[in-house]
Amino acid sequence: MSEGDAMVDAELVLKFQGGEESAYETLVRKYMKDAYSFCLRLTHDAQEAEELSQMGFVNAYRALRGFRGESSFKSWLYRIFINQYRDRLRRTRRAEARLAVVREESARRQSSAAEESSIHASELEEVVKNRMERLPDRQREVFTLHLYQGLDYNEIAAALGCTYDDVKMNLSLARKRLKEELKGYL
Amino acid sequence: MSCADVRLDEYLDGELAEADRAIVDGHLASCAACRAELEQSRKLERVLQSVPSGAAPDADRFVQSVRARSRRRLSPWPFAAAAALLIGLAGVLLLQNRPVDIRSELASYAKKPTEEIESRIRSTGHAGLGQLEKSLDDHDVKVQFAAASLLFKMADDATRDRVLSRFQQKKEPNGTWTLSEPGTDDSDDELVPVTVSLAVDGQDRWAMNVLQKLNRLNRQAQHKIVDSVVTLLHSTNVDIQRHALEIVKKLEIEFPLPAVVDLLDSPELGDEALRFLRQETKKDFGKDKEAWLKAIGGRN
Repeated sequence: MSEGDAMVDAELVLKFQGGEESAYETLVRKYMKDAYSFCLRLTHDAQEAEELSQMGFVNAYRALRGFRGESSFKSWLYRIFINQYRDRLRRTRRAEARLAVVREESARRQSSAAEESSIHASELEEVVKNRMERLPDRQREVFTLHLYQGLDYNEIAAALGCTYDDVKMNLSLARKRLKEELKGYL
Repeated sequence: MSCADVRLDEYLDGELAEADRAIVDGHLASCAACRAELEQSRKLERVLQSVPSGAAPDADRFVQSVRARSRRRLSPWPFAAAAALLIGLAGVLLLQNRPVDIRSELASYAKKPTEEIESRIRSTGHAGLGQLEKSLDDHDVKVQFAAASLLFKMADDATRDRVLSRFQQKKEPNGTWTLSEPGTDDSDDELVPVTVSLAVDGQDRWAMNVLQKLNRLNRQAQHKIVDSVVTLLHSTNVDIQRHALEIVKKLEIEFPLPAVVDLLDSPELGDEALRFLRQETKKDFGKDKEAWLKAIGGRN
């Protein structure tokens, strides 16, 4: 992200904080595609991704008045999406643990969805999706923010609330694992 | 410099300062293994980036929806104040024997649909129906749902079609979004009774989808769905029973099977209930209710 870009964001944030509601809409329009594709990479479900990205922007809207610019707006925004995603993941996992029936049903559905999508999506897409899903949560988040969202190490650290070295280590582990698992395609 | 000391990942990711980059460049010039490793990393990125992420949603619709949902979640106090004011006004109006305050009736109906509220609203006649339609634009999704549910019950076919088409517009990615999105807020479990009623009355697939969302929302919502549907399974109206059974079949939720066993002696629904029980339990006791109840653990 260029410094000029960050400046534009900072100005829009200040305008919003000064009462100019339309400034937020400009920010939503600017980041909605990135936000949506990020959520889609994490969830692999278009409906879920739209829900997560919309709710991320709704939560950002509520929190933006208190934003003091300690990190860039972009990192701050990704932090919200990550938290949103983790909450949803926790909720889904809890719900699945509660209802065995739902779990079985969902497994049935997933396997039939997998069968269906394997007809449409290419083999590579399926393999990549599968391998990314199998990465530990933190590695998947770091790698997705880096590769698909183009964030640098500092931005990722700010988004995830971890250190620069954590980012470096998780990125390196994810890379090593993916190289091994996808070696047939490299 | 040994290969283990080379910061290849940071080099690839553009994280190194100029001087450190030069050191890695120097090493790469003389080390085939590190060059291969770097090339492997680049290939990995190319392969991963070649997988498309899917088209983004329509920007206008997305922004509109964020705006509507942001408004809905903002500053609860003006809404609470408005509701208090309305309740106060309703009290004054009642004291003056004025007509029913539709909005406050709808707010109560959304929490608990009762025949008393229905008959009070019904008594307002044509004007009341007009207000119900206007309430589809209310800022509170619960009030919108209550209004839609009552319109399905009371209005003529043309109005019902209009309401349905508004719901369907909401479903369309490029349609006009006139209703807020249910099933996202924890308190949306309050929508369950009215949505069940909507699914039963309107036989609308969209209402079924909303129920599915509410079903995933939280445990409280699931309990409410079970309660509402079990009540409807015991209705004396066979159409209502039939729709309730459809909900049981379609929703991924553990409904108490004894409520379905009770349908076995229904001339209209007995066969369907039996098919459902066979499928769910992989057992078959025909229409012997006692045997079924014994097998599935009776009424708890």
